[in-house]
Amino acid sequence: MVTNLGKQFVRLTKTLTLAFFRNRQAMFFVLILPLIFMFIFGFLYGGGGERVFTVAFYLDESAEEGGELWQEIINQREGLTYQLVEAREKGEELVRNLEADVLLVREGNSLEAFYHPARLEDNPELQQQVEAVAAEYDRERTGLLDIMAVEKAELEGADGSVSPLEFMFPGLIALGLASSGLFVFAEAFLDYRKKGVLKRMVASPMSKTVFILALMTSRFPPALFSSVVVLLMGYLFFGVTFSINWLAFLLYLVVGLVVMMGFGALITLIARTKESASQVASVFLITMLFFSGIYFPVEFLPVYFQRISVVLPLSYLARGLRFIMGLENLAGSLFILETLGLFAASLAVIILLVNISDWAKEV
Amino acid sequence: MKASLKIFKQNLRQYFRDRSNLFWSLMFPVILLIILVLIFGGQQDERITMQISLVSLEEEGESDSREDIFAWSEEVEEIFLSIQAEEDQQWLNLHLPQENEDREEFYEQEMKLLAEGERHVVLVIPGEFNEQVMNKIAYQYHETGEAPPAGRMTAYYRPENQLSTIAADITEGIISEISRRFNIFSGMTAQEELLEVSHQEIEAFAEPGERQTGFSMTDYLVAGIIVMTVFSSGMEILVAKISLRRDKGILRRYQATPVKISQFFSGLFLYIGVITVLQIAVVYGVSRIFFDFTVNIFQPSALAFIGYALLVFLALGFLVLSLVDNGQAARGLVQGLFYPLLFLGGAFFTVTGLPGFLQLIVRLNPVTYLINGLRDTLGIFSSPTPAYQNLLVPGIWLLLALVVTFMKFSWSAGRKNNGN
Repeated sequence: MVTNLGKQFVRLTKTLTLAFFRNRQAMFFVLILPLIFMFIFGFLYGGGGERVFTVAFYLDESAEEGGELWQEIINQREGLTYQLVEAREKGEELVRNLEADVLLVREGNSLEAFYHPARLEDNPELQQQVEAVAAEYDRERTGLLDIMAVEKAELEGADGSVSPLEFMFPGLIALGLASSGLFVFAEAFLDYRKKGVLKRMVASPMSKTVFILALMTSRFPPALFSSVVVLLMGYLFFGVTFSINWLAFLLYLVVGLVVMMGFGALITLIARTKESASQVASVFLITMLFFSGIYFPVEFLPVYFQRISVVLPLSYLARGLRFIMGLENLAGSLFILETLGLFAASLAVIILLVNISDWAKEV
Repeated sequence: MKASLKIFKQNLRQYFRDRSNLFWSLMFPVILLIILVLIFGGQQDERITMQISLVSLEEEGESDSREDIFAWSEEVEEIFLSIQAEEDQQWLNLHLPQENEDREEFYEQEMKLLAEGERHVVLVIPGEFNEQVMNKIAYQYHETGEAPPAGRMTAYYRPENQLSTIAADITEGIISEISRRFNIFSGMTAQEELLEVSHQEIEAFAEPGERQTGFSMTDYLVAGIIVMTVFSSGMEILVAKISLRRDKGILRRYQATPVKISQFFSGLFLYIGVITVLQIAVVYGVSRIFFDFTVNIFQPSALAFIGYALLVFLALGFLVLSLVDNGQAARGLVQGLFYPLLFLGGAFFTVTGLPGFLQLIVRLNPVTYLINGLRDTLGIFSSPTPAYQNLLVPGIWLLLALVVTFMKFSWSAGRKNNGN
């Protein structure tokens, strides 16, 4: 009997895995979407090299010094490049058109900095750069004495300091896991039920448990493939490398998939048709992307929304992956507790769904 | 006409009957709007609180034992405390050791909290700091020997966390300001000699006029959401409807009926138009009621531009249907293009600093121009691309799509559709 069940499992897993790889829509979300986000956010984080901001500089006649001093000060700052403009309006236009990152107007005793109001992600850094440029000017012109100074030191993670670009990759892998796992029950299971596949299966000797296990297992190869491709592309295009404990990584992929499948099963308990479950799953996926702190710090959200990230499985998956990839310090006991808790809860939801669902119902 | 209306009503009835689908298709843009406005809506400064630890490793009372050394480390503490005590100040939450707490233990504990994400910066003042500062000041007056370094502090932060990076920059700025004020106070520099630095936003338009009402990030985002809604209804719905009917052979069977192709498509386009209006109305209503969106989207120029955008997306939908005759692949392609085109089009945030090949995609992306054009038309922000390009580039895509559609569109599905 065990041999028969084993054979059923192997055959079903193979069939379902091949069917998934043939599903171009699903493969896109699992494989291509994380890569697209990697390229977009990777280059936004300066992954293609050091990010250089263009400073449009307008020197009014009332300024005593020439542009050469400012050019020297600005070009000496890491991440800034100087561009002299003939008129203030020209500088404003460059900033408005995103051809320059900030406009500095030197007039009288003032230095006015103008920023594009929609560039919320860059303006804080630009402001600090402008302050530093002004301070350097004061030192040069007035002999301003720095009696004290701050040396900024990056906190080192398990494998050294972590760049924002490196920090992003566990989130990308988690995104691939979410895409693989979330739609298993929200789409595939309900699709099979709608088409009468489950109804016919119930009438056959095939075991329900074997089917569910095979369905879940069939998502592991694409999830693994997606993760490997993301890491490989990250290395090829951005030069990022990680020291990964591969056994722990593979085990965590399995756990992550089950967690997201559990979440998908939870959605299926609420939304009974394939179309509505799929839409709800899509909405939750996008919501999790924003609230789980993968791409934007949750600290920028109101406190009551920061608390949402606490209940999102993607937050924990991304954190667990960062821990395994050596990018975040986490107490081992906390990691195990979170992982086991999520895994157990997800399994419970999946078992509940399998038992209470009417497999013979064609919607 | 009757046939068109019947097809329109049939599609509309299907839409309203599927309540779950109806709810989510209307709510998804609203949910995304709420998320984006909360994240980027411009109120971050009011709610961000930075957890900064300050630990002086100088032994308690050590400065008191030497009368020639001023307790600069205590001065730094006092300044940070005074910032925290400022009325209406919420951004700084300062952590200092308790009175009899061991400094080294406090330092270890705070560094651990920094690693765990509970702190944004740990500012460490070493034991020799006060002496370093005094030596630096003394050198200014005596200038004997080599110039000593400034009193050095170390600000530990996490580079992968944006807020931690900002907190480190702000800490550096505060210390720099302390130096600056000392120079003024001690008479080494006059206030008038130092630069007055101000920070402000660029005006939304070069020529302020009736259109300019002051920049609002909410308005900026709502325009992007409207284009996203038109993209979704114009391209996704069209491709879904046509591809599903084509795969099932329904589309081909229409040709055997008295219903003309023009009637079929006019009914479908009317349906898509009504759904688009409905979705935009929901987004507009929510943003007006909850997010103070005051822009008038019902001005003729804006409505015309939105209508133009819908035409472009419908044409692009036909382009996809003509090039990809497998329904599942076509739907997958549209879904796959959805977020990348919107992100790279600047729908949710400005996209700058991209390398060559991504910049090329941005320049070729019709969404870029449609979003720029709508923001300019609504008086939200001046378009970074010239007005004629906002019509021309999407127009080229529209023409290209029509040409390809006439040449390649098939009423029958291609390869056998994989039902999975």
